Amino acid sequence: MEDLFMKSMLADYGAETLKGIHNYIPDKEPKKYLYNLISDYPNRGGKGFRPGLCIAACVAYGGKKEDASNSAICLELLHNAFLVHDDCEDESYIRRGKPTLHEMNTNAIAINIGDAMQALALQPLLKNRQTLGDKVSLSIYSEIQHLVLESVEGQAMELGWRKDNVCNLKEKDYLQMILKKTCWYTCIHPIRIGAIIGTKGKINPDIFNRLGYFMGTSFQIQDDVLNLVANEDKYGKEICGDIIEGKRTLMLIHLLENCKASEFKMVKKFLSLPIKERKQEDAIRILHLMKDYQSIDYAKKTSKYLAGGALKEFYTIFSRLPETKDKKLIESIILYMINRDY
Amino acid sequence: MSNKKKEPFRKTLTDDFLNAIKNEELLSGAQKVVNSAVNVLEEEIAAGILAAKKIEKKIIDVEDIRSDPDDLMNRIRRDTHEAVDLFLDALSAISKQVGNLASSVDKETNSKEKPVSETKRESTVTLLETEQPLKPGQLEVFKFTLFEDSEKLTKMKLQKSHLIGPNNRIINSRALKVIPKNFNLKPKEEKEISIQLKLPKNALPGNYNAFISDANDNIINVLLKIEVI
Repeated sequence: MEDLFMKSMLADYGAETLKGIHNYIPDKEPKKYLYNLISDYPNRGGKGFRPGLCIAACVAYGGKKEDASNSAICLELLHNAFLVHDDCEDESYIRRGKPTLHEMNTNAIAINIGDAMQALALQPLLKNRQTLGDKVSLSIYSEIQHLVLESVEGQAMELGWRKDNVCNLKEKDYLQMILKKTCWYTCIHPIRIGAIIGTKGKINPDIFNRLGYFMGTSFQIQDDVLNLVANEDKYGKEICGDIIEGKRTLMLIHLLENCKASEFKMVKKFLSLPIKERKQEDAIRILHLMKDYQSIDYAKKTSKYLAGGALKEFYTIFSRLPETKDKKLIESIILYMINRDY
Repeated sequence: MSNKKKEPFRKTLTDDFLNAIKNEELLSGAQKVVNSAVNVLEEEIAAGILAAKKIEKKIIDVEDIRSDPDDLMNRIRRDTHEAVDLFLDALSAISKQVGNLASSVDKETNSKEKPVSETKRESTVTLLETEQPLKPGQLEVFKFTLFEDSEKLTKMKLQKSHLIGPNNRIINSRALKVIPKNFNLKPKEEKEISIQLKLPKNALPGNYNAFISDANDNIINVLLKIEVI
């Protein structure tokens, strides 16, 4: 029931945001290799996590959901722009059950589409001035600027680790990278922005940092676990794709910290090869090693601990607010993470 | 004795989780992970603040940067700064105008009271208005939230002005009810304030403004704007 409630509310807010995204796409040329492709990823349907958190935080704090809609559109457009660029950078093949944008076109076209999406994401922020006034709009603008910078810094960290084939990472490095690459833009800023709008700028948004961080890290670890254990059709990405891409997940870091020297050497050699030369059977071998060394179980447990931390933060911050569906939505996302059995 | 039936205890998913974390081993593992995450977050935020301060310092030293007028990059920076200056000037002019309007309403309606004292904290004006015009006799409720972000307990005493309309037309402040009016705001506490407006049946058409402020400090300034048809 909890899952159904969460999924239907996220789908509802996601659908409204998607409609808003379509409104911001110019109806002009060049269409074939630009404007027609901008809505491709958003149309494939994501979880609607970011707009959901932003709108829910706004309404939970007494705002109207319409007041958060422009910011939700901006967040979702930026998220999809990041995905387009990430897929090029990671050389991924599948996104949300279909070939990635650069696979369907070219790298150059995909990068250009990502750039256009980032530029279009600024438009709803300007529109905020009409509905929220200058002060609140400026503070949301500065939230978004921080979000983009943190995300690219996190991406740079991980791309650098892959380029230099860094294999001696610790859990702390992972937590730092994921804070930057995922948490700010997936959870921390959407909640902060929603609460700023709901309180008309009267709240100190720093109170949500821990909540968003714990939620974001738990969410990312679970997503990485799914890449190893899920059914490809259901998951929408290639299984073991993260191993092939050399993504520095918590499972990989745990394996490299705990395996024998000979196994460490084998994994390091695999990761030193260009992505297209990495073989599926070697990725499967690494997956088995992760199972043998209980790296996947360790990651599952860690994600639940962090979701527990998020639940505690949630009750501390939100318990004083009236019981609303939107407050319940945020709680149900955390409970979903705690009770997830993949 | 109450004849109310005792509700059977219903186990929820949260209960399952809370029961699970009673296990000591699990708790210490969770504590370790959560603490480690908190340390990373605190370090990152501190590093971010430091980086922002360094950028701020560079921007403040703008005269040094402007010293070479032939340099293209310096020209771009100068233009950007001028644009920011213009924007800030416009913003402060707007704030000043709103401040003047607020104090003139306050003076007109409450001339016997002491003038608003200066405050060290930044004062802001919040605008509350209805989407639709109101009819005489209509009841409307406005809500806003106050949040105490300092570490001190703040005593609040909210006061209201008359509603001032065209040609100094007045709707008496009795039409407004502020709930709660007197209260304490603890550190980090949030309170919802409700303003009930019951328009008199003989209210004349026009745009009316009323002002709600804290009698102890001028940090809370709420301008209520309505149209009567």
